[in-house]
Formats: sequence, structure tokens, C-alpha cells
Amino acid sequence: MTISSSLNAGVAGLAANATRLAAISDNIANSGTYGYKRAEADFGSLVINNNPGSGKYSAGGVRASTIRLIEERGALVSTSNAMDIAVGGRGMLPVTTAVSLGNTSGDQPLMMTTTGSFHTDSNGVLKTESGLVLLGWPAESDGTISTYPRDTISGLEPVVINANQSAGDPTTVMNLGVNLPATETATGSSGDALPLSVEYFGNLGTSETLDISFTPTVPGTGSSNTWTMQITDSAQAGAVIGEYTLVFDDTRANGGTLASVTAVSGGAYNPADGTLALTVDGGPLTMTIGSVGDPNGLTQLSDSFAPTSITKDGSPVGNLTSVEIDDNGYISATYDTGFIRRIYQVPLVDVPNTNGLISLSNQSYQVSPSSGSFFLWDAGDGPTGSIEGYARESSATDVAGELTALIQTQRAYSSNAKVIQTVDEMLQETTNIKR
Amino acid sequence: MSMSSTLSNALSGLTASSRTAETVSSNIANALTDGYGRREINLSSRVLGGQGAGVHIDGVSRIVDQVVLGDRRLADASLGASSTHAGFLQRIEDVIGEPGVPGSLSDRLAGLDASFVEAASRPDSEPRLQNILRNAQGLTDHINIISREIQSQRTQADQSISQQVDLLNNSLQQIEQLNHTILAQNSGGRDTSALLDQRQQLVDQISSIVPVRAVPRDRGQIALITTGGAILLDGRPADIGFTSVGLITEDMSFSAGSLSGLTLNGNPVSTSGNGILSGGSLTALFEVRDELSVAAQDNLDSFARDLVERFQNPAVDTTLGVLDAGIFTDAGAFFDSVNEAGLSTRLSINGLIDPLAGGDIWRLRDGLGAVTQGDVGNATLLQNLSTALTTTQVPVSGSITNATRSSSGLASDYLSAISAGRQSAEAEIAFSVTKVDTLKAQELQGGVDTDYEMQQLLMVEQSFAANARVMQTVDDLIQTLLRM
Repeated sequence: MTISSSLNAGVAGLAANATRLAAISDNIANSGTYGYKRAEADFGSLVINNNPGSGKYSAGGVRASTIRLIEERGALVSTSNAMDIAVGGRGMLPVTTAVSLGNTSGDQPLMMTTTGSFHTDSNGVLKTESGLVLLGWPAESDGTISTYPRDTISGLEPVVINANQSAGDPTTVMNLGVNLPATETATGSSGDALPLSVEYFGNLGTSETLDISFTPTVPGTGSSNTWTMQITDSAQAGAVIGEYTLVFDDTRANGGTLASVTAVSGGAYNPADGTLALTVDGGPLTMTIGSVGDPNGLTQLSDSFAPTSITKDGSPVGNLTSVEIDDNGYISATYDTGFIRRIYQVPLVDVPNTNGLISLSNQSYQVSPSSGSFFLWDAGDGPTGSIEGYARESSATDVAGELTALIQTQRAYSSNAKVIQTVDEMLQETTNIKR
Repeated sequence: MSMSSTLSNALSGLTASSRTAETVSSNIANALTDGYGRREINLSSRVLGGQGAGVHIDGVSRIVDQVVLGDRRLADASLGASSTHAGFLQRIEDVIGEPGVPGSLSDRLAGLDASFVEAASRPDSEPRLQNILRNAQGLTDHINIISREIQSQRTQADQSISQQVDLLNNSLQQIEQLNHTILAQNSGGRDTSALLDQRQQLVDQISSIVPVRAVPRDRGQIALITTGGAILLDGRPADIGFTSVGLITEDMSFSAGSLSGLTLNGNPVSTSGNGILSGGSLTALFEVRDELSVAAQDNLDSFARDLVERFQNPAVDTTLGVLDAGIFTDAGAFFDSVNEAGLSTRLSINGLIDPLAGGDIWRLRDGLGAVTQGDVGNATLLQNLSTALTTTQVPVSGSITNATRSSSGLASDYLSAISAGRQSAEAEIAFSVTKVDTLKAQELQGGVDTDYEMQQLLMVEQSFAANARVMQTVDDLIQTLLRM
């Protein structure tokens, strides 16, 4: 009967609008929740009588379905915590639950989130207040990331940062830019050796020195432009690790640059790149003294001994001062000695149908059959966006839009109520026919 | 939602404005602070996920003209060196006394000469003979005082070296620690300007001792290298070694090994004017201790020897034997020319003529070797003595002059040599001071300009107000929405 279908349609409309109201209220309630994705109620009409010529119309009513728009992204806002991470683009951060960490059997469940404020707990595990633990691939001790499978989470580990961690970095490369005084190789000069000591760091972060002495060869007449460079290592109780005869050019074109280097003892001189292959206590150390004719290495000009350009890598043992994440998802630890080491890589999880993910509490999502299978991308590669530190993704809720929808829903709700009231009044009329 | 982005942008603007205000206030507060480098805040627009997201504070940069600073430090060093020289020479000059000033060396010589002439005119007058004795004693005392002053200046120089070496070692260690702190702060991304100020002051402190150049190293560290090429600090500080002695006497010297030189990390380094640590007050003090004062002492000894030998001469006083002491003696005894070193300290009056030492004043008239008093009217010896003092002769030793000089001529030549040294050192001071002042003025030109800071402050005020206005507008917009 048509009139009762109207009543049903009215009731269906009330129910559908109540669902929509629930979605709106959830959106408004979470308008300040970082990483919140808007829920939207979608209405579909129901058709009962599909015979247009029958002359009767039965109202089928309306059915509400809700969908979470996970693909829609909120604006990124900046914060002051280095481990506040957001994703600028497609892709999500791999996380797991804190409770699953203690699991002795089975895998940890892979969950995803688009943003999180991670802090270390008492065990150094990076997790959010809501209990999401950040996952990443651990780096090797030299800072490289091995190849891990990208379609399973077997390589992912919870990111653990030990604040009391120390790390050292041995010196392997040294660049010696020193000007020797040309006047010292002239006849009649004193022939005194010029001392130079350069600090380097051993494998255990200990501070050692290379003592380098430059002794001029003083000829009977004229200038020899010849020096003997002797290098001793403090870590080997002052043993000589290299001795070289340096002859400098005195021609007009290349005046003051190296003319020849002859190894008397110790590591060989490579004329192509101007390096000495020294062996210090802890292993090989490459010292660049400049190739023949190179004005940037050892030079012999004028009368001043100027050891002004000595550079080297390596650092003493330092304590962890800060941890930061870069665009590509590499988590780097900075030590107070200025040494920076890569400790983890956080990949981005991407699925073919983001909106098909199962929504869980705390703005986390899980792979479902409708989302498709996941793949772990390096951040910024493929379809994924970059990872941003010091940033959160704000709620995708547009309060103005929700309030507008709220007005519409209210009107629609009262209109449906009016329909029910009208049906009631009409039925009343029908009932009143018989007194 | 764009409104939340608006709020976040405005908030970042507020933060940037207040940080700028902080920097400006720090600049104004330190407008008169020595060694303060003007701070400037560096802002850039922030991009998050490819979209603009307000303003980002990149950091605070400290603005210092390194070239002017480096030159000023070198000028400090040469000022330190020349004032050390001038200070020593001035002191010796003051003790010798300027000619014409009562109590000066030449005044005392003139007094002695006059008393000889006076006594020769009345050889029988005992007061006039006493007058000779008094003047001779005054002269020996004065020479003793000069000699002691030279040695006490050497002792002081030795102690100053010790203090400066300590200061140098301490400052280097402090700079090393600051280097480490700056590195740690830098790696933590914090502002290191205040530490840089402190480090600059420490380097300034040592720059008058040794001329240093600060060479930048990785991650905000500096290495300190002297202009001679000694590495004072590169990662680790150098250890400069020196041992001071309690008291220095004439026969102690660096060359004899009784005085300490300098070591750098245990290796001896030259302390001379062209060594690797030279150019500042440290090597100037070594020059005072080992060269200037030694020369002054040698010349004073040579002057004393000239004086002694004028009277220790049988041709002047016929009663003297070949090995008998004259009026002036080497600690009361005959002066042997091999004992010249330190003579000026030991110089004294012959006891034979000093009534207080049991001698007899008449021996000045009758001869130091006379057994009995002779004729009271005999002025021959007194005239001889007077002539001996004024005869011109070439001094046997020393480097005062090679020309013939009377004793007083030699004394004034001695003083002139020291005065000339002092004047040239003072001319150097004047030059260095001008240089330091000029460079200092240039350094200050790059410092805090309060007018500019005030202008910045006005801009900060406007920008803060504008950002606050944006926030208020967003609030109004939401209010409007809620009133619907």
C-alpha cells in the first residue's frame, strides 16, 4: 500500500540522516585529531515498484552507506619534535601495536598510519602515545641498508633508539695542505726539521697523532727544493710509517708545486691522485698530499711554514644528541662530536586501493582484500610522497563543510519527520471516516 | 582544512617574530660588549610535502669580519712585543738617570770629577778628601743598583714568561673545550653564538702573547696556528713547556743552559725573534731576558771595568803594585780582567781609603800603597786621579763604542744606546697602537648598529601584529560559522 510505503520511506530517511549525522559528528569531534580521515555517509535510493505503467508508486526509501575517505589528505602542519612524522603524498608509515612486541609466536601485525608523534619509551622503542610502534629496516654498522623483501614485513623491525648509545668513527682519509718555506732549502739555512702533528681517530675512537716532520736538504750552493717527509704514528709508539723524498718544482709555470715524490719507506705514493697509502695502527689511511703539479696539496713557496689546510674524516666517540628523519625516510642519529650515522630506513607502505583499507582506532589502517596487497617503497620513489619530520598531518575535516552538511541533515531529518507526521495525519483522516 | 593551515602559518610567523625580537634585544643589550658578534636571524619559507607551510627559522648567524679580526690579532701581537721591549728599556733608562738630573750616573761622575779638582786645590783639606770618598761611593752604589735592576728585570721577564706560558696553555685548553661544546651544540642544532663570542675572547687573550691565526675547521671548530707555523691547537691543544727559576744572576744564561727555553709538545723550539712562536710578547720577554738585558749588563760591566782600570794603574798612583787594587775594586780586591762578567754588581770602594772600613782618608792624597802620611800640600796624585777620570781612551771590552771616550763620555754613550733602543721601541708602539686602533674601529663598524636594530624592532612589531591579526580573523571566521 502506497501510504504505508511513504511511512517506511520516512522512517528510512530518518535512519539514513541519523547515520549521516553520526558521520558528521564524528568528523567534527575529530576535527583536531592529527591524521584523521573524514567519514562520509552516502545515500542510495531503494526502488520497489519497477513497473512505470502500473499507476501506483511505492516509496522504496533510502539506504545510507558510510565510507572513510582515506585517500583524502589533510594539510601538513609543523611541530617542534623531530620524530613527528607525516607523509607528504601517497603512502603510509608501517607501524605495529605495542602489545604485539612481546609476542613470542607469530608475526607482528602490519598496521599503517599517515602521521604520528613518536617518542622513545623506557626501552628506547619509538612509539606514539596511542601505542603504535614505528617499523623500519635497520642499517648496517657502516650506514648502508641491505636489500630487504618489499612485499612482506619480514625485514621490518621496531625502531629502537638507545639514547645512551656511543659511537666512534675512525679516520681513513686525510688531506694535507701545507706550505713549506722555500727559503729553508737554500744554502746557508739552518736545516732544522719543521714539526707538524695531526690528530686522527683510531678504530676505538681514541685520539692518536701522526707526527710529520719535514727536513730540508741544504745544499752547498743554490737551493735544493728537496725535503724529507717522515711520518710517525703515536699508536705504534712513534714507529715510522712512511718516509718520502719530496722535490718541488722551481720552474716559472709550476713554481712551488710537487715535482716528484719518492717513497723511501712505507706506503706507496700514487701519482694519479696524489695519495699516500699509509698503514696506521688501526688499518689503512689514505693521505692526500697532491699530485705532481697540483697547487692544492703540498707546496713550497716563500718563507712561511703554513699548515693551514688539513682536513680529515673521523670523529672521537660521542654521545647521541638527536635523532632526525629525512625526506627519504632515513633515520639518522647525530652524536655530540658532529658524527651523523644512519640507523634505520622507514619505508612507505602503499596499496592499490587506499580507500579499501580497514580503519582501526588511532588513525591506523590495515590491509584488507579490497585494498589489494601492499608494497614497501623507499619514500619518494614510485607513487609515494616524501616523509616529513617535524610535521603532522592535520585532520582532513573541514569544519565549515561539516557545519553546512549539518544544516542540510537537520533540514532533511525534519522533512522526513514531517512526512511521517503527514502520513499519520492522513491515516487519522482515514480512521475518522468511520465514526 | 585551510583554516587550520592559516592558523599554523600565523603561529609560525608569531614564533619567527618573537625570535627576531630576541635576537634584536640581545644585539642592543650587547651594543657595548667587547668581542660581541652581531647576530642576525635567518628565515626561509617552510615547505611541507611540497606545499608552503609558514616560515622556518633556519638559525642565527653571527656576523664577524674574520679578515679584520685576524689582522687586529696580529697587530695586538706586535703591540705586545714592542711594549715589552720599551717597558724594559724605559726601566733601565730610569735607573741610569738622565744627564743633569741629580743622582744620575753622569751627574755622579761629574760630581766625582769636581771633587778631585776641588781636593787638588786644597790637598790638606780633609773634608774635600771625604767628599771624593762620598762621591766615589755614590758612584759604585749607583752602578750596583743598575746592575741589580737589570738582573731583577731578567727575573721578572722569566716569571712573566712562566705566567704567559701558563695563560697560553690554559686558554688553549679552554678553547679546545669550547670547540667541543660548539661542535656538540651545532650537531644538536642549537645556537652557538654566545660560545663563539667566548671563544673569540679567549683567542684575543692569547693573541698578544703569540701572533695566532684562527683557521676554520669542520663543523664550527677552529685551529690556531702561529704566523711562524706552530700548530697551537688543531683538535688537541699543544703543550708549551717552560721552567722558571727563582732568581737570575749575571752568570746565568740560556746559552749556558741555566735558564729554560721553550718546548712545544716536548720538542725544544727557538725562542729567538724568528722562531715559530715569535712575534708577540712571549718571545719579546725572551729577548729581554736573553739579549737586551745581557747586552745591557755586558756594557755596564765594560763601563765598570773601564772605571776600575783607570785608577788601578801604577802609572796613575805610583805607590800601587802591579796586582794592587785602585780606588774602585772588584769586591775589595784587585780586578783581574778575566773576571769582567758581573763586575758592576761587585764594584766597591777600596777599604784602604774608607775610615769606616779601617782605612785612612789621606791615602787619597799620598797613594793607596803609602805606608805613612806624606806632605799634606802634595796634590800630584789628586791631579793624576782627576786626569785619569777624564782621559779619553777606547774601552777595552763591550759594545758601547769603539771611539776614545772619557769615563763620563762612556756613561752617556751607554745611556744613549739604551735610550735609542727605547725610542725605537716606542716608535714601534705608536705604529702598533695606530694599527690596533684602526682595525678595532673597523671591527666595531661591523658590530651592533642600534639604529638598524631599532628599525628591525619596528618591523618585528608590525609583523607580530599582522600575524596576530590573521589569527583573530580566523577566529572571527569560525565564530561566523558557528552563528549560522
